[in-house]
Amino acid sequence: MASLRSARPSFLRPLLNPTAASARTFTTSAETASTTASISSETQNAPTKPIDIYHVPRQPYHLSTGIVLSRPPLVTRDLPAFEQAYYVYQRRLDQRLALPFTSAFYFKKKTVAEEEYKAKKKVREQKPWFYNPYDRHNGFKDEIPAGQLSKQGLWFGAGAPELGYQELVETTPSGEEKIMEESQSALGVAAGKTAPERPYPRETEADRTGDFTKLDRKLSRTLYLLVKGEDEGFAGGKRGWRFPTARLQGDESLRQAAERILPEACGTNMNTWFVGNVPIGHHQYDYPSPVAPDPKLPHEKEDPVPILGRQVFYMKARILAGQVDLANSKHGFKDFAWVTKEELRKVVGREYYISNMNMLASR
Amino acid sequence: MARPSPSTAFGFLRGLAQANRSQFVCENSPILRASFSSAASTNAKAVETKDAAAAPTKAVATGGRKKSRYQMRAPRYYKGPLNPNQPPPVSDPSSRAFIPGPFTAERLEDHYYDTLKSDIMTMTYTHLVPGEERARKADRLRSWDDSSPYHKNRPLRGPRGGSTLRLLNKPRTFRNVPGLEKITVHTMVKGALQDKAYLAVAGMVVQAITGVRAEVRNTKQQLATWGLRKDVPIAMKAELKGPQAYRFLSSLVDVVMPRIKDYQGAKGSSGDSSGNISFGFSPEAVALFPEVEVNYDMYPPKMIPGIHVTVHTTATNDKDGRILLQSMGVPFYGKLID
Repeated sequence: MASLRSARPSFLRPLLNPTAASARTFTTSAETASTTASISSETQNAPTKPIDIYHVPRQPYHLSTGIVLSRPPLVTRDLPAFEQAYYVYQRRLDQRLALPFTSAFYFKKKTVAEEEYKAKKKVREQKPWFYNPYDRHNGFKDEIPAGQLSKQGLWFGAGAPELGYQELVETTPSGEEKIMEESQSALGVAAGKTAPERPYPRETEADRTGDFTKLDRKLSRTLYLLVKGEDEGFAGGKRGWRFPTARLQGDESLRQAAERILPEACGTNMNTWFVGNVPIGHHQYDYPSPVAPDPKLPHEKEDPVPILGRQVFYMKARILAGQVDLANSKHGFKDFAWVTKEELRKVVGREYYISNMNMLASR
Repeated sequence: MARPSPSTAFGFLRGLAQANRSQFVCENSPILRASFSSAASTNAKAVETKDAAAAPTKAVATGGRKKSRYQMRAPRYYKGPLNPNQPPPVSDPSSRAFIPGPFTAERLEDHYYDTLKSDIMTMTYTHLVPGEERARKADRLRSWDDSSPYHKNRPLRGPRGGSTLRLLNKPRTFRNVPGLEKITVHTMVKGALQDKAYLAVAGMVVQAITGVRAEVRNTKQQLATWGLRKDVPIAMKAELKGPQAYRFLSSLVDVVMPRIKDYQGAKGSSGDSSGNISFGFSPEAVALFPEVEVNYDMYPPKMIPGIHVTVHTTATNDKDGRILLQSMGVPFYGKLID
């Protein structure tokens, strides 16, 4: 139906259409010209007509879909100094208020587990960071000098904030060595004293080199995909960093358009998930001068109004695996980057950032 | 709500015997408290009977000041609002009822607020075109049709088929995204009818896995077919709120559920129509909790109970509650019935 194709969200008109900027009532196209003149009398005398959303005149804007493709945080957040100090304070209070650990309830006498516990307790008590609240003479020395906490709020003594995992393994009875020995013997490898597998560090190679194309940079933050290209879809024709955006074609919905555009523009090498069917953001920009309607498009042909600019609605998507591949990009993107919210702010213009900042996550 | 230290094996058993405590006792935890400073441990008992205006410091004749060995303690009993020695607020570390606060930021809680909440909001949002009204539902309280003159000013009638109004399902906004409210861990131990030790072990297990002191629940009816007598302690129940609830749920999803053989998940029909989902674990699964497995041999054989876990959410229907739990990693099996 031609009327369906020409349907556009009517809330745009009062906000954006300069010809009907002051319109308060929603009316059909035949009455548009007369409403601007006699607003007050109409609103006072006539009751508001129910809106007919299928017969609204076409808005003089091109519709576009943008894709906010994000990689959510993969590790816990970095704690600010005050929060770290608060947690350390609460842990110290807990050490002082709790009764001594009753190892007999947890480790049966003359078992391997008890021997491991005793050995590690000896090691722990020799460490410089060990605190015994029941020590008659040194129990009051429970403070940690500022600046000595590791990034996750642990203390391993002055000058050793990053020992971290190794210290924990040496001093915590966890049965890991026994498990490692058993697994080694099961595989037929000679059971020797092997160090348990270390967890990966929070800072990766990409962090150190500052490679913005890598997805394992800034693991504790959300990363957003920005692209740079010569596509005329960018603000006023300027070639800046933007979310991947392209115009709607035919009858498709915003989500359908987004699902079409992403592999076309950024390659098929990504496993993504589009969240919901509703957009999360909106941005409008005007062309330097109004553009003539395209007679090839049916709805522009039937209602030829010069197009003032573009309305972009952003759809939310998450990347689960893969990477961007701009080799055969159909939308002319030449470069891409995965950036955090603060880096995005520096790179895109002020107006663009203000439109989009509220749809970006705080972490 | 007491936070137990590892030594509360004995505190728990002692607490079981002390069922009723004076409502005027300032401390609500039966756990013995070490004095705040190790140096005053020997003086603590002597000091409790003294008044607040205590022994003054003694100056030594040579001119040095002798350090006072009196330790001010919060009063043990509340003696009214006019008493000069008022108990400090519970948040004060010097209070007898103080429980040390969070020791770390909670991973699942941060993940929910940073990632899951906005995704759920976008996923479940229904757009309304301005000028269009949502489909109007029938009145929740039905009015009388004035067919009789006595209908005037009569109170409205409740819903058909029952007097309980169902929760309103309001359109999604940023203010009503489903979230985790609390988690209830419950275990009913039939063996407690014959031997009270079963209940003690059950309470110990619940305390170990939740970090919260469980409360005893009695039978309510007498049913000879099942051997039940009235008012006999038979179950233990613990409630978790806030970061503790997130920690428990994440340990379920990350540690316990993956270790259960051929684990299907929670039943798809689970839910009380108000957004609260329940699922259970057998005694073998409970033994897989790291807090139980670490000293599994210390528990008497075959006395570790199974548990019911009820996740209370702020969702108003089962579908939203299930979406929340699925986003946190809980699998569901079978037909999903709302």
